[in-house]
Amino acid sequence: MPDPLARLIGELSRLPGIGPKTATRLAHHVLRTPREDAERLAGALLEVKDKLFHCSRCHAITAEEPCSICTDESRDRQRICVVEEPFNIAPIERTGEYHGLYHVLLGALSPQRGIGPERLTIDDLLARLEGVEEVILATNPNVEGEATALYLARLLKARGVDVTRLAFGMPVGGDIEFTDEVTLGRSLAGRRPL
Amino acid sequence: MLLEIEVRDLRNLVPQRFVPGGGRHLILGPNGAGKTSLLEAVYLLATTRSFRTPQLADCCRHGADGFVVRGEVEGQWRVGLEVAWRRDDGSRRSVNGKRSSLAEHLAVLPVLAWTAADAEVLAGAPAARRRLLDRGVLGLEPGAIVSSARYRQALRGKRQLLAGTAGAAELAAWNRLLASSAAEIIARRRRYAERLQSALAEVLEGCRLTVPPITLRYRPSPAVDGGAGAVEQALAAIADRERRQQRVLLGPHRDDLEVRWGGRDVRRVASAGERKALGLVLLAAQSRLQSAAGRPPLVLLDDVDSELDPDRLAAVWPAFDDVEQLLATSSRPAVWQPLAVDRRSTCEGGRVRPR
Repeated sequence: MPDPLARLIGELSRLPGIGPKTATRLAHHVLRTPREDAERLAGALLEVKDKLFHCSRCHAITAEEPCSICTDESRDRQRICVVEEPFNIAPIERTGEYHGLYHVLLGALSPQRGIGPERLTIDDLLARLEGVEEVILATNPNVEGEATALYLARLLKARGVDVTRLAFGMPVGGDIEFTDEVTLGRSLAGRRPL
Repeated sequence: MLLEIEVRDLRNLVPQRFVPGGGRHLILGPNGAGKTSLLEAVYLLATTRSFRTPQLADCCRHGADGFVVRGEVEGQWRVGLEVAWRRDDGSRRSVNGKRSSLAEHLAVLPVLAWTAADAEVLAGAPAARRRLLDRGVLGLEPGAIVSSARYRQALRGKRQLLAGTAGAAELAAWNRLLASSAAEIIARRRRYAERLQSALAEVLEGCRLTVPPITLRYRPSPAVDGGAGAVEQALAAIADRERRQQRVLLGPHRDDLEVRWGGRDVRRVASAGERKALGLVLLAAQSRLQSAAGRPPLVLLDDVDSELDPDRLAAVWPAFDDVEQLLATSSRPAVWQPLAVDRRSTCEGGRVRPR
């Protein structure tokens, strides 16, 4: 295989979720596309690296410091929603239900991958608690996300903040018949009066 | 009920379609004829795993690129199951031709098996008895697979944490997480052990096996009688010791089911034959519980009469009288002469034929 192609395949297969087969297909696709398309892709790659960085307050991805959410005076400053990754913010924003601030941990506790509390942005979160009444823990409902939420809950409660966790339950528009037992069990445990 | 099974390139079995039929089906044949392989194929189809090896590659016929086991099951509906393995592509499972989750697959054909490895249940380490409890729990509540998977995952995390320099607060978070799934596992196993005890009494009443009083005592770890809060407290109480020793000292992965034979530990007082007979009766009790819950299992008994003299076999056999579907293998036709079975087949050279 010619060197530049092997190099491209090698680089692409380092991306998350992309194995050697997909990397090979993508590389050949790039090879077939017009030069301008490849230039646009290369430019876009460099641009995100040159122009974007993490907000020093909430660690979201931003092109300005601080980010637009942190500086938006209309947002509710008594609430912080804690997420694992910057890309977790957009789906919550799209709900239109939440108007508070965010804090991105840049990961979750994972002893298997050697990620302890010191590798997350927990100290920065604790430094932002002045005037905050509620911290919403929106880490993922998997083992790492749960452990991270439990770890944070203890720290935050000790500082007198209300700590809440996203509810788990049935998808809206779903059928009880097709809901797995764990989700249904969690929905029952988290039921509320009408 | 398994209506039919088709195997290709599995061990020494000739490609064939086998119709087991209902009731108790005895398969006779000399050693190495393929009897165990046929039971293994049925078990594989139902569970996607082999009871002989953790490596599916071992099940593949020598020189073949892969194997396929396919079957038709009639429960609430008629369902097609398939488990296949290929050297270049690994394993694949499907329910009605569609890829399925493991829980979905396991729910189609509940099986209970007695194989050579089960001799360990009453004689060996606690792990075999935990498996007995868990396969019983899963037979009644297939959804329990999720909390055990969650517990195992959290346990791996905690082990890694203890191997490094774990902070007390971080360990406390993992303990709280472990405590919730541990409490679920303990509650399920405890409930199951109690039900198994009464089912065992019923089965013993219906067969002619004479044994001293048998008691099943579930020993959870930690030894608490409460929910997640109590488990978490117990874990917190030994957290320092765990950090010093860098290993997990408590949790349902260390549970045991104590089997008392006339008030004494069965491992110390019962002979190999007595333990085998009790093991089979326990399996019959498990089958009875599952049937009562509306999920009658297919019972697989490999080399069922080994370790049993003809009288003891005759005493145990009625325990399986009301099983919906059972496949048993044996290499001793003579001992089966006086016993009632619904169907007999012979297995020779990798092929099963009705007798």
